[in-house]
Amino acid sequence: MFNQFRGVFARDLAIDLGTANTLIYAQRQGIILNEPSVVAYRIKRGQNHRVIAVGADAKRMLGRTPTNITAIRPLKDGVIAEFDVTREMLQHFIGKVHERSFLRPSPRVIVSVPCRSTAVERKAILQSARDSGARDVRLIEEPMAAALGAGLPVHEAVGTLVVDIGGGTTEVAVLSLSGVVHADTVRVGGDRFDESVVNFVRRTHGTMIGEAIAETIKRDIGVAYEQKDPRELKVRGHNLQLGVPRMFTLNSNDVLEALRDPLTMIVQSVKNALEATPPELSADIAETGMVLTGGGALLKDLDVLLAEETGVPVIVAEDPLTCVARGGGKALDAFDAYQDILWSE
Amino acid sequence: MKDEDPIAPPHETPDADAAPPIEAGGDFSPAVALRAPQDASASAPPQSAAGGCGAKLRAARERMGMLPADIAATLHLEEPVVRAIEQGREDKLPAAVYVRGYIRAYAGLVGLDADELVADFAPVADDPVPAPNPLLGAVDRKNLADLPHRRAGLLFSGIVLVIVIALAATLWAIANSFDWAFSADPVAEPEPAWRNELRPPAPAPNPAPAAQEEETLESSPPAAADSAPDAAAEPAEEQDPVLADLEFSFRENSWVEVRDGDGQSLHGAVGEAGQTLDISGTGPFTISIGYAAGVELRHKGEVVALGPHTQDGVARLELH
Repeated sequence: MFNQFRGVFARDLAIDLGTANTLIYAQRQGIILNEPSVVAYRIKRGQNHRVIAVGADAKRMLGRTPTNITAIRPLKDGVIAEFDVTREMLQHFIGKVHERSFLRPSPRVIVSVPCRSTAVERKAILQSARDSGARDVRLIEEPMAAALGAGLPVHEAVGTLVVDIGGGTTEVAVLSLSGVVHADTVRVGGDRFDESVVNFVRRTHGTMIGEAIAETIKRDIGVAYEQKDPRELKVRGHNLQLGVPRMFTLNSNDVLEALRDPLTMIVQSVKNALEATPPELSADIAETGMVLTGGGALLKDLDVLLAEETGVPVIVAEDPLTCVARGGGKALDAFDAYQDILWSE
Repeated sequence: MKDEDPIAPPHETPDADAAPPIEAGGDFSPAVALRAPQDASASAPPQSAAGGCGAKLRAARERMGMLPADIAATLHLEEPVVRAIEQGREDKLPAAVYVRGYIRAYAGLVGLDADELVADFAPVADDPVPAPNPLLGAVDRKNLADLPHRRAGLLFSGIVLVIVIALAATLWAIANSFDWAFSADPVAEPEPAWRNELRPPAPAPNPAPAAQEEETLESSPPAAADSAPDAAAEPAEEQDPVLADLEFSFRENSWVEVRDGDGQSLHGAVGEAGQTLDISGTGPFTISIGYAAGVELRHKGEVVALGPHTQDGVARLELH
């Protein structure tokens, strides 16, 4: 009862707990937090780890820490790799959006999880959210949240294909009647794109670049489909042969070459999903098309690539980065109406 | 202007030349195709009122010398869908979210600004997305503070009011149902036949009960006597209500224990220096004083000499 009382002061939250970024949507307010899922903590022998920074602050420390401080991403491939650290991070974020509250907040929380996450992983997330003070925790499957956020008619008896390309994973799911008909998770996402660019540059230019620079390259000139008029970007890296920084130029088609492997995996996964879809739903999808969400959907011409490869129209959701969080938010706003798609123990 | 488009069909002749649609146009009759470019330029304004973005898309397509079939093939849509978009026929289109996607792709193909066109297309009716959210996408720290806190503030003051009222409605009502309120309940406690009173400085573990007791005692000692089983046995007390049966004045700390005629303990505690302890009850009293030298005892107003009863500093006596 006291929890409900505290709940009056708390904002109900939908959390997109992603490998790369954690987004929090608050009821009637929209996205109020968008920070990297990174935690930095100090290691002391014989003592518990002490968290010293979370989110954007911690991300700046990635790769720049002395030996007694570790900055890590507690989620790997869309699932919790470090349970305690994830809990601390959730607590920090929930506390942060309730900074000025008089009482310790006790919100209702919806957390999105990958479709293929195991019951153990789901329980771990439930427990993490509860430990961070939530009063009622529900889980929503990521593709479902993404579809809701994109505004797709998930409650209708119409097949919908959602491709959510996140930081760590790509979720491909066929939805109909508020349920998941087929789902597949590929461990390819924005992070893998960056790695591929780093490897490509090392291989072809004999130069090392950091992941942050790789991300810039991907964002600025990355494409998923051959360009007739490729754009160029000047990049500075550490030349392996000479051991000194060198400047070189990359163009869009180079990046396409770098991204070929991860892109093929995504295309293959979409093809598999189409193959595994019952014919009725398949017809719906062929008619209306598939929807891309998640940060990966911002990769230029990814829709063209998928359309070419599958022969199905492809549309990119509006504001794809926040689709999952907004979808969770929609489920919050109509908590009772969406009971059937929310998961709890 | 026209020839810079890479996706246009193979015939990249200026549109003054009406040849390309005729050559490419399996679907169009030559006459229609011939007329199309002029139509578009002539009737664009009136159409935009009816079709909005559809008309703009069509005009752009025709300027580039493309057919709906070309658009449909590139976007992997069916041709009727492309026509429905151009004509603004929402009844032939799927859910709005898809149509917005098609329009974006179409606009990209013909080199128009997608955002503007999507804004034109606004069939909100079948759109499951609720009213546009101003914060979508934007991470706005400032908004954390504003609106909900005002709401929470109102709620908070309301709830504080309720709490104050609940407290004022006295602890006894709530105390019965919540064990955390007070462990001792002054109402539920059986009224004893005797009264103890510790005057200043009063050690009060439970302020409320102590205050109550003090009041009853000082204002109406007869009441206490009345409630005693054999109040009539002590008429002397009736005459001088001010005097208690026993009065201990502590000059120094000392243990004092008093039992009444029935052997029941009326008091057993350390009295601190400077305090005065009044005890009323039914005699005969059995009294033990741990440090007789530090205590002065009065019985019904008269000083009792403790000396004769004292052994090793401890006084043990019986008073009637």
